[in-house]
Amino acid sequence: MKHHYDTVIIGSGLAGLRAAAEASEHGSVAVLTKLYPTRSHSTAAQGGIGAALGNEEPDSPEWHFYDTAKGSDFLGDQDAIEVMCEDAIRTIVELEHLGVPFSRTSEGKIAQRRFGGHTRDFGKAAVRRACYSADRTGHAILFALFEQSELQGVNFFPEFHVLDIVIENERCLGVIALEISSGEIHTFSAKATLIASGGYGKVFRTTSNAYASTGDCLSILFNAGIPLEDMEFFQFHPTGLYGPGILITEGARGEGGILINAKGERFMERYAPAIKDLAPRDMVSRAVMTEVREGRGINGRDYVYLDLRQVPEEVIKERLPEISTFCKIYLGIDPSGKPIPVLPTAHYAMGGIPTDVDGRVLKDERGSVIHGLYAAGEAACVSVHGANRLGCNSLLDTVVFGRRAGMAINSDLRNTEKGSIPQSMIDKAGDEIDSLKNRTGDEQAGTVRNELQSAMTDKCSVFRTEQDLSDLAGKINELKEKSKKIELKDKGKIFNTELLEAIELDHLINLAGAITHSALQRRESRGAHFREDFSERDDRKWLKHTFVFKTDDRLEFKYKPVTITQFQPEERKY
Amino acid sequence: MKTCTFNIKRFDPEKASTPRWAKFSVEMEQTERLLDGLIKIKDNMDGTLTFRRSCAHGICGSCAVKINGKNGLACQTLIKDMPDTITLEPLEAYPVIKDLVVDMSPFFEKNDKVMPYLVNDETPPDRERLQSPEDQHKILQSITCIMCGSCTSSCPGYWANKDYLGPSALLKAYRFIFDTRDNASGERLEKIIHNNGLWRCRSIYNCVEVCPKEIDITGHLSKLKRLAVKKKLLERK
Amino acid sequence: MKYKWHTGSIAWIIHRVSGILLLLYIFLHLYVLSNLKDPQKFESIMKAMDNPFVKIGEAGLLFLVIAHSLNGIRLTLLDIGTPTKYQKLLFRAAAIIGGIIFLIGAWPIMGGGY
Repeated sequence: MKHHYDTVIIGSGLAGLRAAAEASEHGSVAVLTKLYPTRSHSTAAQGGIGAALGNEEPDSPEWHFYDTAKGSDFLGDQDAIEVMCEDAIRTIVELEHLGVPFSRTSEGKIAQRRFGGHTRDFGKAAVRRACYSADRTGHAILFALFEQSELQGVNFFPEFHVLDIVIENERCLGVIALEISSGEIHTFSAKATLIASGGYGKVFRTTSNAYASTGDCLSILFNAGIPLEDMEFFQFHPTGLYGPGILITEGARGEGGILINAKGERFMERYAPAIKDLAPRDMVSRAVMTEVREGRGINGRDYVYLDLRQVPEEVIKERLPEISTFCKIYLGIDPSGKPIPVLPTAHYAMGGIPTDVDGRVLKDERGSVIHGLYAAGEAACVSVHGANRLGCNSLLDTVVFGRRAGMAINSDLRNTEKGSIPQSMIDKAGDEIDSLKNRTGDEQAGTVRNELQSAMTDKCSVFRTEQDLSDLAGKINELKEKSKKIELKDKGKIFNTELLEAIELDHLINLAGAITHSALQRRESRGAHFREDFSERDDRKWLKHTFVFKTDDRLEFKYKPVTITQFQPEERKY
Repeated sequence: MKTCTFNIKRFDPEKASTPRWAKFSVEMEQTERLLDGLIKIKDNMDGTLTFRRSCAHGICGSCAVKINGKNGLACQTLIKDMPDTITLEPLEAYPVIKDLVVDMSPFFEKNDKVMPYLVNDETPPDRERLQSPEDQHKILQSITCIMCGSCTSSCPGYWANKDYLGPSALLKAYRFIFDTRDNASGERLEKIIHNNGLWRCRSIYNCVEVCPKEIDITGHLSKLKRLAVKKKLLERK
Repeated sequence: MKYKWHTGSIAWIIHRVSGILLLLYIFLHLYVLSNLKDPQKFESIMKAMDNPFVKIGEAGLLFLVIAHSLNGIRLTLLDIGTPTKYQKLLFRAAAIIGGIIFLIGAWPIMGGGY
C-alpha cells in the first residue's frame, strides 16, 4: 500500500511526538512505530526533566549550560547546549500547559529535585533542577504529548516496522515499512522524514532499555552511507537493579539515597567530595565498578547497595513509588527497610545520527546535509551530551530538539517537491524479507543475540582496553557470519516476530561494530568512554567528534572539531 | 531452578482456523519473569511462538496476557509466585491475531471517545498553571495507567457488550475530569453518562484485581458516578 | 480456561441470579394472590404449601431475599464512597450476617419453633 504525507516520523516517543505536533500545524503527518505509541520507551524515563525554573531554590540557565558542558566532558557542542538550556524553561512551561501532571510544591508550582551533575553557581553544590512527576516523568510527558497529537490529527501507524529509508541523490524520499499484523509492505512517500526511533541499548546484555531499543533506523542509515557520530560513548547508569538491570532513578539519590560498599562506607565521598552521590553517571559507574574490582562489592560479589533507609518513608511513597514497586516485585525488598543491590546498566546512547541544531541530518563531518532527512532524540547526536549525558537532560533534549526539527521541517517543506519511492526499492525490501525467510543453517537468532549482548557487556562497558575491544571486534565478525546461518521457523506473513527479531539482530550486530571500532580508535578516556590503557583525557588529540562511515563493509573514521563557545575545557572534578 | 510447564493457547490464522494448545517444558529460576520463559521458548524451542513485549518491567503495557485464568503482565509475574504448570492465553474479548497477540485497536478506540486530552481555552500564564499538591493527588492514581488492557479485557460487562467503554477509558475520563486545570469536565462527563458508559460498570472489581499498577479503578468510577448523579440532580433543580 | 472468579465477580453473579429468580417469584406470588377471590381454590393452594418441597422452596426464597438485599446494601455502601479495600470484607460480613439471618428464619419455615 502506498501512502503520501508531507512528513513521516519514525518513532512515537517524546521526540517524535513533539515534532509531530509541530509539523502537523503546516502539513500532513504520519507517525510510524513498531509498538503502540504509548509503549515507546520514553515511558520508562523516571527521574525528571531538567530546567532552571528555580521553583525550589535559585537557579539559572547559564549554570545548567555549564553543568551540561562539564558533564559532557567538554565534548558537547556548546552552541547546541546553549540552545537547549536557554529553551528549557519555555519547554517545561509548554509541557505543563499541554497537561503533563507534574508533581507540585506546596505553592502549587512544578516540584524540582536534585540530580546528578546539576549544580548551582558553576559547581558549588547540588541544585534542584529536575522537574518530575513522581518517578514516572517520561510516562507522564509521553501520554500528554500523545493525547495532544491525536487531537491535532496526527496519523498514527502502530506496529509498523521500518525496513528501509529511501535516499536518492542526497535526498530522502520516505520510508518503506512492514505492517506487522498483515505482513504487507507499505511505502510512505514524504517531503520530510524524521528519525526519532530512540536508542539501541539492546546491544548489551545488562541494560535498562526495552526489547524494542534495537537502533534499526541508525543501522539502516549507516548502511546507506550516512555516518554515525560518537558511537563509542554509551552511558552506563550506575544504579540498575541487580539481576534484571532495571533502572533505579538517579532521583533516588537526589532525594537523599546513598551508595555504600561491603564495609558500609559511603564510597562516593572519596570519588566526588563536593557532590558525592550526585556526581555524573560516568563517574559514579566507574566508582561502583572500582569498588567491586577492589573486592568491596557486597559479599564480595559484583554489586553495591543503594541505601534509601535514611530517606523518610513518606518521601519514598510520594516521590519514588515506582522504583519501590520494582524493588518489591523483582527482588522482594522494601527500600525503606533494606538497601537495594545495584550495578551499572547500559542506559543511554550519547552517539547517533549526526544532526545540526535543527535536526537536519549531516552526511559528513563538514556539515553538509541530506535534504528531507531529520533526526531527534536519542537516535540523534546533536551533540548536547558529548561524552556523558547528565540525568534529566535526555527528556529535555527530546522535547527541545523534537520541536526544533518540526519547525525546520515546516520551513523546509515550502521549497521541497514531493518525490516518489522507486519500485525497485520496494522490490528490494520484499526480496530481503524473502531471503531472510529462505535462509538455511543451524543457528538460532536468540543464541547469536545472547552471545553478542554478553560479549558487548563483558568487553565494552564501563572499563575498556585495546585487547578486549579487538577481541570483541573479532567476535562481532564471527557473529556476523553466524547470523547468516540463522534459519527461521516462522515462514508466515501475519505477525512474524521471529522475522523481525532476525532483522533487528542484523542491525544490532551492525551497531555493535560501529561502537567497538569507534572505541578502539579513541585512545583516550573521556566521559563514558574509559580506556584503561589510555586513562587520561587528551584534549590536544581527541577534543573532537568521531564520525564513522561504512563503505563496502569497511569502516572509515573522520573527525569533527567540538564547538566551544563559553566554557574552555578544564579538569573535571566534583 | 525448577521445571515449568508452559501450556499456551496458540493460533496461527495462516495454518488453522481454530486455536490449539501447546506445552513447553522450560528450566526456570525462581526469580525469573514469566516473560523470560516465553523468550526462552522462542529463542531455543519454537521460534514461531508469538507474543508482544518491550520494556520488560511493567511500564510499557505490551505483554498483558491471561495467566492461569487471570489477566496480568508477563514481565511482572515471577516464577516463584506461579504453580509448576502455567497456562497462558491471549487477553479475553479482543480478536486474536496470532498466539498471544490480540488486536488492541478496539481498546484504543474506546479511549478516543472520552476526550482524552486536557482542554483549557484560557490564555495560558507565562509560567506553569498552579495546582496544589492536594489537587494533583486527586489524579495521582489515574495518571499511572499504562493502557495494557488487562482491566477492560477482564470485565464481564465488556465481555457481554463490546460497545461498553470499559474501565480503562472511563478511568481516562476521570483523569481529565478531576484535573483542576481542565475546563471541559462537564462536556466530558456527558460523553460517559450513557448506557454504554459509566452506568454499565456493575462494581464487579475484576479490573481492580488485575490492574498491574494497582489502580483502584472501580473506586474512581464510583467517584465519577457520584459526580454524575450530583450533576443531573442539580440540572433538574 | 475459564476466567478466574474473585470475590467481586462471585458477589456479582449471586446478585444477578438472585435478582432474576426473585423476579420470577413475584409472578408466582401474584398468581397465588390472584386466587384470593375463590376461597376454595385458595385453600387448596395453601394446603399444597405444607409439601416439604415447597418448604425448601420457601427457605430458598428467604436465601435469595437475604443475599440480594445484603449485597445491595454492600454495593450501595461502596457506591457512596466506602473504600474499595473493604469490598471483600463487606462481602464476608454480608455472608456471615446473611447466614445467621437465614438460619433464624429458615428454622420456623421448616417447622421448628422457638
